[in-house]
Amino acid sequence: MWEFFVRSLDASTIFTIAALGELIGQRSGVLNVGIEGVMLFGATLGFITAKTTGNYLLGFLVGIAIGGLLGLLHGFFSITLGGDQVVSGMGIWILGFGLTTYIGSIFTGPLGMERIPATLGLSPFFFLGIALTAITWFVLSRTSLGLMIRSVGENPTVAEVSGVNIAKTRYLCVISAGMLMGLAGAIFSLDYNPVWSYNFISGRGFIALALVFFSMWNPLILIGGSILFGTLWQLSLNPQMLLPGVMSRYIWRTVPFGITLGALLLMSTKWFRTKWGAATPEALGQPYVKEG
Amino acid sequence: MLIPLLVFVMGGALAGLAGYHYFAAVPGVYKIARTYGYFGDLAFYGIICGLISQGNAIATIPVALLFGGLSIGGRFIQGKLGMSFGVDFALLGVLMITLVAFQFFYRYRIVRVKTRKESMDVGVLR
Repeated sequence: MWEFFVRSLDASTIFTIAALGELIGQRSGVLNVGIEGVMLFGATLGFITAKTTGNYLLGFLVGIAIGGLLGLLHGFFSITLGGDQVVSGMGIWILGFGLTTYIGSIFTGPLGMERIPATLGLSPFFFLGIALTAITWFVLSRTSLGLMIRSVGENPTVAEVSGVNIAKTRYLCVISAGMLMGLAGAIFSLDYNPVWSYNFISGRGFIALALVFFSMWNPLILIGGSILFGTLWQLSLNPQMLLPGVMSRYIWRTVPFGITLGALLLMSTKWFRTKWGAATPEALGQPYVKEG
Repeated sequence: MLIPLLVFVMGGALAGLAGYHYFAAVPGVYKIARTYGYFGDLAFYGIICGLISQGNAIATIPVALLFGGLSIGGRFIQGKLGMSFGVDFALLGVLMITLVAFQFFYRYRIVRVKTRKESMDVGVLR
């Protein structure tokens, strides 16, 4: 039982870090639906680097760097060129899916390195995830930088009038978001499950995307949601061990998405909006064009 | 309220029809899907076709032909020419990112500048 719980917390770490990146991006008004692609890139290139050099740190750094670069690409398409953010994100996802399958297919198989040491069975990245969540919460809700980010996401026109550089703030958020997603991918392929196979993130990026909507753009709710989703995901891998004969694993796999649908339904009601306020960043998904 | 509902019901019905067609299609080339993984690939192609055709129903036909050719041709190229696994996916990724980059032309236009005065106007949004 304890082993299952620890493994769930490890799984939830990946969701936490990836979703945290997405949350930062969405708070600044840029929707990135390509989390899965960024995670695939970070995971694959981190895996290849660690396997060829035999150095974990280098693998993680490469994962973070490629994540930042893909974030920059998405930012260029959606901020500078003003394109459709959903199309750009989908493009990054398909690019990640395609190129990583091509690049990584000769590296198929286990990593073959000593595992990263764990404390009480928990990987060190669990604590890193909690620390990153706390930092994000502090920056977003207690500092002037966070106020700038939130104002850019809510109403960029007003933010610009009060002297905030929209493009710069959004680029900052999108690049740091990409770095977090790349880190999440590298954690998946180097620590959680160090075996490369084709399309091995298998929908975790989309769970992270759902998690951001579920958490109502609040980092503290996000960590609770990610533990819930991580447990459900881990249960769906082998439900017969804990709950024999309750439901098939394929039905368990759909439960997180079902919960998100329910949460979105609840959030769209008038009662919820009047009681909790509008949680969605107003300018989410809209490119900002200066009127001249 | 009714029209969005109708649209979603019709979209789901068409997707379901496509899934049925996948199982009922010509055996030998399109075998019945055994794993989720392969079945999912064609769903990806469906999403890309929809995004590329930009809400134009006629445009989906050539786009779908292109992706149908890619998905089958990719498998043949691996068998006959001995290319490595994932060539078709890589081509797809590059194609998709190129198409995304062409969104540039929604907002900007390339203009030939003739006189000096005109060159000063370029870049000013009117």
